[in-house]
Amino acid sequence: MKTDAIIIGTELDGLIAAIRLREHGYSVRMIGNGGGSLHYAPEGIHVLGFSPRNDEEIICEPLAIISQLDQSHPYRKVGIDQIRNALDWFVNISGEIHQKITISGHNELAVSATGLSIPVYGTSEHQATVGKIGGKTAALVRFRGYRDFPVELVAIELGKTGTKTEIVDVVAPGDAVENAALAKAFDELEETDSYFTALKDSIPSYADVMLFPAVMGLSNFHRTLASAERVLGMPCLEVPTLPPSVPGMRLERALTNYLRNGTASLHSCSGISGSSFETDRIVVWDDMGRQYEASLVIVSNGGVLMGGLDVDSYGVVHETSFGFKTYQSEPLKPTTVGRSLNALHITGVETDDALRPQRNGSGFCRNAFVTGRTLPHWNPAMECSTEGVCVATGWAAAENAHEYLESLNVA
Amino acid sequence: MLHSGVFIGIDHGSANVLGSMDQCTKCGICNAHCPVAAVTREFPGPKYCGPQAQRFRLAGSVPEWSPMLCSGCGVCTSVCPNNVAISDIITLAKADIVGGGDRISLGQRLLNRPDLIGRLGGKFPTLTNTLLGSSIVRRIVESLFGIHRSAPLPEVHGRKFRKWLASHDQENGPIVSYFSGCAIENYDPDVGIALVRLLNHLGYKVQVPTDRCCSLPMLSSGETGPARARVQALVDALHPSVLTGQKIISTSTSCSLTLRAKYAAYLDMTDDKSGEVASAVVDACEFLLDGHAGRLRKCLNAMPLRVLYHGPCQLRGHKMGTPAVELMQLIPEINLQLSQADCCGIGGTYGYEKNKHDIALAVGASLVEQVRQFEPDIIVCDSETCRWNIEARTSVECVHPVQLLMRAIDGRG
Amino acid sequence: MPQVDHNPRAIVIGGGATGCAVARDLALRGFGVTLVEFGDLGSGTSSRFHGMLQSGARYAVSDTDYAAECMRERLIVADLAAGVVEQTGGLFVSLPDDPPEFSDRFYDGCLSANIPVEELDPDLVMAREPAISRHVLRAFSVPDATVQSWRLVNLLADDVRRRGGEILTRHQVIGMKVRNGRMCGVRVTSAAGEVTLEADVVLNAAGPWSARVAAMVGRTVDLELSKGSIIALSHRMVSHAVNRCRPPTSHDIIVPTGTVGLFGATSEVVGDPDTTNVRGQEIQELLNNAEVLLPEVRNYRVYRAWAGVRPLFKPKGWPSEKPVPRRHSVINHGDDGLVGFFTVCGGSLTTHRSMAEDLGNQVCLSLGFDAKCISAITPLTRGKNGHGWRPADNYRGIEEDRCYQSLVCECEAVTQSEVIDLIENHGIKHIHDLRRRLRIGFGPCQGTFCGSRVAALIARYHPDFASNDDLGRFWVERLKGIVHTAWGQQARQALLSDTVYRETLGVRLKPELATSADYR
Repeated sequence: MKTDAIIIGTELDGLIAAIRLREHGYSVRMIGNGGGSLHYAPEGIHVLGFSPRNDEEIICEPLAIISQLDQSHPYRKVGIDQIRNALDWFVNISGEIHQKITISGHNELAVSATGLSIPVYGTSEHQATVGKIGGKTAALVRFRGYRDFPVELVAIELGKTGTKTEIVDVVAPGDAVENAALAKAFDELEETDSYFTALKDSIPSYADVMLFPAVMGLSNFHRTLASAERVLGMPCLEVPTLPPSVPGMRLERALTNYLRNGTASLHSCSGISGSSFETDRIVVWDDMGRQYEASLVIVSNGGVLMGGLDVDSYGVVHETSFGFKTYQSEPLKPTTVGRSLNALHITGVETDDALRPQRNGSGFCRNAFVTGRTLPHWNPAMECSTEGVCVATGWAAAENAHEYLESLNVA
Repeated sequence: MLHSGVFIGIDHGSANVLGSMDQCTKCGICNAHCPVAAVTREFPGPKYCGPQAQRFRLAGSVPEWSPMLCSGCGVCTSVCPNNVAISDIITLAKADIVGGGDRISLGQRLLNRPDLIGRLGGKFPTLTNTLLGSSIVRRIVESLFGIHRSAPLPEVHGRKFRKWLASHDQENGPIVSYFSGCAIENYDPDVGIALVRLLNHLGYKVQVPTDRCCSLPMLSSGETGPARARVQALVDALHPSVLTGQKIISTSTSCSLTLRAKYAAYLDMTDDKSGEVASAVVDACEFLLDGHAGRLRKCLNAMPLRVLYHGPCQLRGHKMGTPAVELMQLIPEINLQLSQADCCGIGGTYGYEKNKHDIALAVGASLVEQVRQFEPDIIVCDSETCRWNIEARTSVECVHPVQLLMRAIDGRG
Repeated sequence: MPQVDHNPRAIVIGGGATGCAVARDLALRGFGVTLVEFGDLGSGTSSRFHGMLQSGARYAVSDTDYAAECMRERLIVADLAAGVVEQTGGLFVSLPDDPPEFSDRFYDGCLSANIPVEELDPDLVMAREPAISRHVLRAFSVPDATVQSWRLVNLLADDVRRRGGEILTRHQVIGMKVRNGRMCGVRVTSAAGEVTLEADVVLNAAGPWSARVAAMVGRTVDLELSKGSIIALSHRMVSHAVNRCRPPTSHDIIVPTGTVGLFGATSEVVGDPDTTNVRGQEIQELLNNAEVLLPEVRNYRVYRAWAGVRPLFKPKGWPSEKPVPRRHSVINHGDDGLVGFFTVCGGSLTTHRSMAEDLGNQVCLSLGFDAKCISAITPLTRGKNGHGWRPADNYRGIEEDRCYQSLVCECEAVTQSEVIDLIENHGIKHIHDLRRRLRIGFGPCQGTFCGSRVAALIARYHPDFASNDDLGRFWVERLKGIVHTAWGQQARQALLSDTVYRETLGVRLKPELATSADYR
């Protein structure tokens, strides 16, 4: 079965590339197993939170320092204009899929799952940030039996920054105790108002903001949080939890639905068992032996974290779908923990500025593009830049692919 | 991913399934998508019952309960980014718990033999259907066999499909085999009839080599002992058609997934013959989409209906995306909505059991809610027990995609 | 000979297996005992080894006496502390690379050392242990076992406390008090400040650090520090401890302990007892050698690597070309003018009790205090001691109680109530100390998900406690082991851990965290 493009990987960068290609009118087949690392993404769009050179140096205006990054950083390849276009486009999409992201041109400080601050560029409406809660008295919700929100640590850290907190013990609907189960229980709650009304008595009168773990629903969270704010009479914000991240799952669902309604073929739970790569034709076999053909491929298979790259026991790095040439960062020659981790992060498929990889010593492929974590020379955990790079490179890959497909049509 | 297919491929046995536990990074994505864990705290989730517990199982046997609450829907495996065969690990644990079937309830034994019930009941279909339609009889069945009184038992139809096929004239053309399975044979003949007519329409001649059961209910509840001989007989019955190069088409995503991948995983049937049969199996929609979409597009008439499509859990295991959706999108003027529910709840025979019926209801609640809001004219689903369940719970007609396609072609299906 | 008419007071330096056993031995003899440990109990060599309770068969040829001592002690420990011992049994397999004549000498040596040995059919052994080499030429079974060393150390310490002794962890000895050529106490520092502890005898059981302790009073202890690195394979690839049947050397054993399989160990002379870093080259060396015994080892997932430092003792006049013996020694520093100060060194975890007995005897002799050693015949635990420790016990408990939601560490099946009990009733305030006692963070995820759960529980009881810093230390400590083995799936795990800690929890990898010494 033939499509214009095959995208390997169904995470944020792959989904972005697919949506953009669909907008250009191309047929797309996606192969991958679910939202993958979107489940690890805390709320908001992180573009560049910390300096790539210093783990503790907070960046205030990420777009202003793109030009200072190393030439090899994915952001430099995409370029500042494309990054702006991609982010603006994403903000639009986020509104359409009811996952509205707001960007203000500089980083806000988001409250992390342990109460620490993480700079974030785009925030969602109910995301807890230092700006929204600073100087206030927060009631922190602790659901009975729920273990994936270390609320006590949040209280300690917020206390250090001058936000007064009070932990409130609450029974969740359906007595659920896991992230997604809680979210689904809130989604299915019929009488949200009466649930929050019952809660009202246990909340101290001096509290002026409510902090919930970010599990207030997968699809109905707008309704649930609006109901909470109405009943409790104060802002109700969400603080991220340990993964799997419910906000990440919301985004995955919304983007996937958006795409499926636009008729892209999504193949869940699929890996590639083989591929044949020619200059004008790409064929892949999935692990059930099916054969798919396309004019080009976008490789968004998630780097080492999600198995798109494999490190063997000798420390050699392989790209697992097509055997693209990788940047060898010597991950198994550790000196310190930080450098070892960095070596794993910054390895990847070496590309030209159009995100095109190399194979078998030949030049850069015209019909393949690489995105996200599979690109080398960036460290998402250190920089806190995951979503920014995924959106920018996913979008850029689609634009470059569009250019290539157009050139084919002309020819 | 070069190594990704290692553990779930069709020619790999239980050792590979169990070995995949070492791939787990404990990320919890499986738990987040597990429809059962979302509704009951009694079930600790696939991460716990699968790769996590397996490490302890290696270190000494322990009496276990939790795996028995798994519905076997396989959602966990399909969302795992680490290629852990989670649901298969749990199923193998179940087989250990019930001693390969030695310690299994009478009701479960009955449910595990839908072909037998169908054949017995089919001798006196009217009587059987009247009896099973009576609430008193269902109460007795519940107390005797543990089959819940309001579980959606299908009507028996005798051997209607076979009879129809015998009297049905087919023109000559390329021959394909249809694995109808016990459900079509005994309970849901219309699906089979629709498929044969559709394939005839496309110029194929259809033969049905056997009406044996794929034995999925046995395998998924751990009754592996008695399943072995039945499965071997089925493979033997299908193999001659495979040797002539025919594809084996199935209209049930759960039967076809069993044929494709589960005999190796659960029964270690990794021999060439089983492998050849497994490789020849193809889902009906997958078959239709691959190479027939162009012809279908030409003969499909407009169908201005509100259609809700619910992809059954086992569909994910085929790793083929949603071919039914792509086919239905060929129908002009269709108003197609996709189900947001992970599972309808029935889990094959899972929701029939008295002690699991409530869980099944809770799992299916979100689908029921979606139906209430969307108010579809018709619901489409590729698996029979799901269809019976959805129909029973929503009172909306639920059909197989090939039935909808046939209706778009000539109004009948 | 001096005579004491009161019950003497002893200070024991070192909270490993030996130190705790010494404290217990003396407490049972009627001493007033204070044990001083720089870090947490069992945080040094006692936990940084492959977890074996040796039958002694390993030394049957090279040192038959020591082998016999191991066998005697192995039986005593398994009897006293059945709840922390798993009777895995051991196998010695002779592979084509191993000297063929060694097997017969091995068999005879075992018999001489009273080690029950049985030759097995190699085919049977290969069938029973599918992961090992298919080229086994001869095979022997011996009664090797494994021990949960942290649990053992804590059992010993609990018994000391029960008998009136005092255990001071996170107390560092900074000086000794000597009066008229007699040791009479030590000066220690802790978070609470400095204090001098008085005693009749001071006993140095600081393992690889014992030379440093002795140096405080100008005495030398001639140790050879031998670093051994070990890798933890993702599950129990073998059901017995499997040894190469050859003269004891490096990397020749795989041990099923807990839910994992440990392969080790390297051996390398080092100068500093704190040398616990593992080099990339050592890992490759381990893997190359492991491939002989475990052909598929490079395809296995390896959770982490770590190293411990063996404190081998060179007796006076020991020829430099001969390998340093494994047997322990007791040094009475009274012989060179410092009465009341003893050092015990050498030996192994298996012989920790007999080391303590030996030391206790000499201490009593020097004090003229007449008390027999009763540590081998006094039960170590109260209550029932029915079956041995089994790795699936935690899982069994959770299945029985259906308390799934209370799991804190999922990989090792540790429940919230176990954690809270230690926090509430045993004054534990650090994630590390909970880790050692409960195996938290030992499984595949190496602390990725349990760390913040545990930190939150500690913070619930000790809100003044710097939990995010402690969490960061725990994370880095776990990572230190993972980064050496970050290939295949464990590379993904390392990045998942990094993603969770830095991107979700907001912990920063501060330089002081990333380069700090071991957190003990």
